[in-house]
Amino acid sequence: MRSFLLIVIAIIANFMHSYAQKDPELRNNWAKLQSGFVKYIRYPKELEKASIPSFFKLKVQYDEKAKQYNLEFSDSSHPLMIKEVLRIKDKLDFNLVYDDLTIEKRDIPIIIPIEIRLARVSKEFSDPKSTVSQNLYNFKGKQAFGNFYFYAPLALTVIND
Amino acid sequence: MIILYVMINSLYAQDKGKIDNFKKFENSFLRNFKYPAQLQERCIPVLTLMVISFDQSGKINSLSFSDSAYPQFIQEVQRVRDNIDFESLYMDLKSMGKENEKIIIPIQIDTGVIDECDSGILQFDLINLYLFDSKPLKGRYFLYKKILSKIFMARAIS
Repeated sequence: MRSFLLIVIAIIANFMHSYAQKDPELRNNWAKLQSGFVKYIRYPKELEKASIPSFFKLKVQYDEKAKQYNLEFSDSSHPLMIKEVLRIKDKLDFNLVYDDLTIEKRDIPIIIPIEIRLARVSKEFSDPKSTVSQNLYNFKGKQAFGNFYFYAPLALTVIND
Repeated sequence: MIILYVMINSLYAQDKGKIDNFKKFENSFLRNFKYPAQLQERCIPVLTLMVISFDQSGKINSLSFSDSAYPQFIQEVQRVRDNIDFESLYMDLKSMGKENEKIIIPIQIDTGVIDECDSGILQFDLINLYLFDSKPLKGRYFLYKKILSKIFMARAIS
């Protein structure tokens, strides 16, 4: 099973590689950010085992004084995923987003959806009582309101069983 | 056999303060909107992003929904569009100096048939929520308050 998986990954990687060479779209800034995300993120085993996908918004605000990006997570994020994204945050170059959107001033925050899609999803996730969809744009109980730069999702599909 | 449909439209309590322009807009939206029966019978909720822009005179320039919106929902909004108080929305935006921005209004309307089914949001809906014609949302927008409601149907059979 493991060797089969490795072969599949190798084929996909090879395909992506040759594809990236031909298609300039895949060499763009989003692709760089996405490939860094996919390379470093490890979906928490606990969530994978429980078949709980992750859908939340990452609010990225540039701090001019500290010369760094501050991250906020919408209320639909699981604490384990917050921990995981914070672990890899230095591997994510958010300058790419501003470059991509050709924006010089960084006073307006960016909203980037994080999507960890699972092949198999638990019933609880789609339960009518689930608050995921209602909390997508809420930060500490308050809905994000105002001007934002919206950006393409950083997505990963996990084949769980 | 008589089948009675009773619509229960319970608004989630959002702002309990004064009825502002947004509230007027939201109320007019929910009052005119009739939940498409095909979706309600199958307990399919509405979860979408509405993107709207106005021209200089306050008329709607463009109105679109993200890919998670079902055609029945879009048809219904088009049907009642002239009765929705977009003017109040425009006035609200104008008071903030945001009338020239592209506006995003998230919409979630849960539904169901009492004692039969209750709608839930699927992974598929969440993926499509952010796509417009299969392309992800990208660029500068003004994120506005959301429309959040529940429209249930009770079936009384005698």
